[in-house]
Amino acid sequence: KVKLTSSEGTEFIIDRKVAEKSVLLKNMLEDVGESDMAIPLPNVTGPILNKVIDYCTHHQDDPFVSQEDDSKKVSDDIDDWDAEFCKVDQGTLFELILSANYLDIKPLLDLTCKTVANMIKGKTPDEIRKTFNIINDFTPEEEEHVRKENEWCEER
Amino acid sequence: MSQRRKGYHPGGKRQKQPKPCLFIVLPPEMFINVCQYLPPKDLLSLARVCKRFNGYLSAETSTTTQEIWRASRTAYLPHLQMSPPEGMTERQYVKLVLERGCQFCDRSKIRKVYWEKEDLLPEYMDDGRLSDDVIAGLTYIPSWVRRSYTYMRNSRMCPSSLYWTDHVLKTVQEYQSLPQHIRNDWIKQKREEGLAKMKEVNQRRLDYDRGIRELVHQNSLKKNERTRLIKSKIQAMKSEKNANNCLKYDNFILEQCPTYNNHMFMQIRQSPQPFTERSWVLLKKKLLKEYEERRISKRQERQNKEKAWCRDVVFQMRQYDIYQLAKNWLPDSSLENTVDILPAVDSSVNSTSSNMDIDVQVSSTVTSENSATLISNILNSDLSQYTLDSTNKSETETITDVNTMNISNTDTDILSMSIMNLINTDIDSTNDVNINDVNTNDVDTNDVDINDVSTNVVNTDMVDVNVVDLTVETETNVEKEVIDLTDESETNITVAEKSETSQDFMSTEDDIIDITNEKNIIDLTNESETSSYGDVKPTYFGPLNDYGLPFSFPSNDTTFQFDWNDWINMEDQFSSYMDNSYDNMQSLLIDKYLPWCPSFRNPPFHDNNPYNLWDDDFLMNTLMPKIWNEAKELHKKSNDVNLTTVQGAVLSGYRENNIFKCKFCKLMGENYGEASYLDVRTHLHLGHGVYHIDDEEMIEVCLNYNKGICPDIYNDTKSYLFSIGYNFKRLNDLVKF
Repeated sequence: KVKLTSSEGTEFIIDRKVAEKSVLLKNMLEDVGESDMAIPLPNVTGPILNKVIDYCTHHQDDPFVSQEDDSKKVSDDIDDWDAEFCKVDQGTLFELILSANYLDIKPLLDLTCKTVANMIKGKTPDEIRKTFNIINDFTPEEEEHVRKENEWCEER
Repeated sequence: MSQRRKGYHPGGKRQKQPKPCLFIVLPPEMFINVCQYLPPKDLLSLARVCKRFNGYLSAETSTTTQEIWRASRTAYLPHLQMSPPEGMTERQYVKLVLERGCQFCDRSKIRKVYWEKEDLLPEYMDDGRLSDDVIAGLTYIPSWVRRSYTYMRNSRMCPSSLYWTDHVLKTVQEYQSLPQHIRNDWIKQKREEGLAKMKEVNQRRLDYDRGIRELVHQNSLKKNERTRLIKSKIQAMKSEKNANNCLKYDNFILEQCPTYNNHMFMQIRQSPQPFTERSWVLLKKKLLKEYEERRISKRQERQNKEKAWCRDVVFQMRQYDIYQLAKNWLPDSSLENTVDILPAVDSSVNSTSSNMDIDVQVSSTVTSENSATLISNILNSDLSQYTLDSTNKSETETITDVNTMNISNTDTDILSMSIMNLINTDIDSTNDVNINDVNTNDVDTNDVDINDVSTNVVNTDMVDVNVVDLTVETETNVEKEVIDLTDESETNITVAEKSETSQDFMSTEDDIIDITNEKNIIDLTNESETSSYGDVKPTYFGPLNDYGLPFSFPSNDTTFQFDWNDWINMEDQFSSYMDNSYDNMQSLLIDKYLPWCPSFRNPPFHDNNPYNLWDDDFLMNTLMPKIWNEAKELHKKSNDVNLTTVQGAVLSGYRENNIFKCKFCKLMGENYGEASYLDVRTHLHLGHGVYHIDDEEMIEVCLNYNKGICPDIYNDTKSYLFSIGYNFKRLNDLVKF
């Protein structure tokens, strides 16, 4: 069993096997060994940590995937559980990306990035802005400039 | 990171307080991470979303930016594996290749587009004099680069060679600014330069073609490998068996799954990526999901269909389900040992006397308790009196093994008695070791656990034995004696001898030893009293019977007819059963015992309702083991059956003898003579319209063997099953036998 504390101090107790899905925690546990001391995770909030633990628990028996192999370029091989897992608001989704990066959970990082990529695919710039609530900070001239540079991707 | 989180509350009330999306403040490495899943087209869209993204994606000098584009290009544009020509950024390169639509005719859009030489130059250049020569020295984009993209364009726009607009304009300007007389030289020089450049370009093209060909080849190899691997994985999954030797997945259902068919038969496009464990896990998950859906719906379908049938039919259907499963089902080999030992002991207890209802557990604990006290006694005696050297010790161990076996193993009392007897009588000649050896063979196979528990119990015996020389002759003697003793006539004598034995022990042995030995004997006599005195039922070939030798001579019937066919068959089955092969028990179950197993005749339906299908787990782990043990029980008792019951007569191999009578006819005073089992059943079915024959209620056995034999005649599985006691008559049209 491993104890974790989120940024606001909520404590989580999880199986070591689950914790070791995170390379960060795995290394930490290897270095420090198991102890009763909670591991503080100041970069991860409670609700997000909860989600991350959900993910790790569900995938705890998955084979470990090394960095290189596997079809990482394919963004549509998300299985049902994962797809359901990613049905969260965007804030949570990006928090998950950051946490996965921080905790070094490669499959979760891949999954969340794929999900974002899927939200972008096939959209026009304007649609992307709307989807992600991004403010268009180009001046009209700049926009024209960029637009011309990218002429062909305007759907006709 | 902290600044990024400013004003953001996870779990998000995003709508209430609009705030910049986290996406744009995502650290660059995360941004790259997202980009690696995007094709170039979407990257270009992304670059137009905001300044930040544009910055990420159009930094022409940044290797990271170039890497994003390169990765996207190689991943999503399989035709464009070669790096861009010198002086062109990845982004321009991608754009060049992807460009589509008629941008040549739309003037406003010309900024950095490509000219198509023949058609378009005259149109935009008012200078009609411009000839091919002028631009001959320029690098151009040969048509082959866009070869693969011609489908995007209408045929009119299929270009030959393209030039950069800027270059053309510059060249034309340069050309025009030159004095007339050196223009020709200039052109010549430019042409040479151009030739050199294009030579390089053409070389690149050849490399590219070769590369592509190689790549296609490699990919097709990889794809084939992947297809092969997936097929073999699915095939393996298909023939996967559970612990009970049954297929884990119903192949019929599995073969209906779209995923299965896609991968097994359709030439679906496979990715050239290697098929990793993880991919298999995902594929299997998908397949299993489809499988489970179909399984459930099939089950539901079946249940609905059966609702329309009458109860009799469904009852037989359930029995048929069991029959089907029993064809493959074997006990879980991991549980085999525990399952096996208990019934073995159990049955040997029962075989000696049917009255004796000693629970195995109880008897074994009795003996072990006993042995515990014995051990303590012996320990004392050891300490005080005997110091043994190591060789002796090893010997004692084997001996005591045997002795304890006799004690703990409550089976044939004759056997144990004989041993006691031998121990007693041969003490003078001191040949116990051989005797014990003889017996170990018999006993060891029966029971291991108890043996271990009570080793060292009877150390006392060893004291005598150690001194002994082993001789072969005595062994033969002993064997004879055992057999003799098992004979009925001598039972009494044996018992008598035994009581003597104990007395002898008492008198001859050291005090402590006496006590322990006495205990043994008392223990034994206690148990044997119930069996050998209570119901004197001699078992011929006593020791052999413990292994369920499946034949017996009916003890009080002199007109016994021996069925040699049965004998030969059984001999076979007997020997292989000894090899611990379950196959024969399985075929015995199917061909003989199943129709008579109580749990088969009256299956335990959920809520007592045959319409409720059993779930697999119950069938596999509860019902089948029960039936299996019932069949084993029948098998073990097969030499000890009541021949006046139909079950007994059939199981003893008198199925084809004309000893069966129809009770209905008898009741109605009609004259229906004795017939074979099959004939009576057929008569019941056809003559009385019975579809579900309750053998004991409807058939009578008259033990008159002089009526001869009527061999079963059947020509298909259905009638065969009927002839051995199955009741599937209701299922005639419903299942395929």
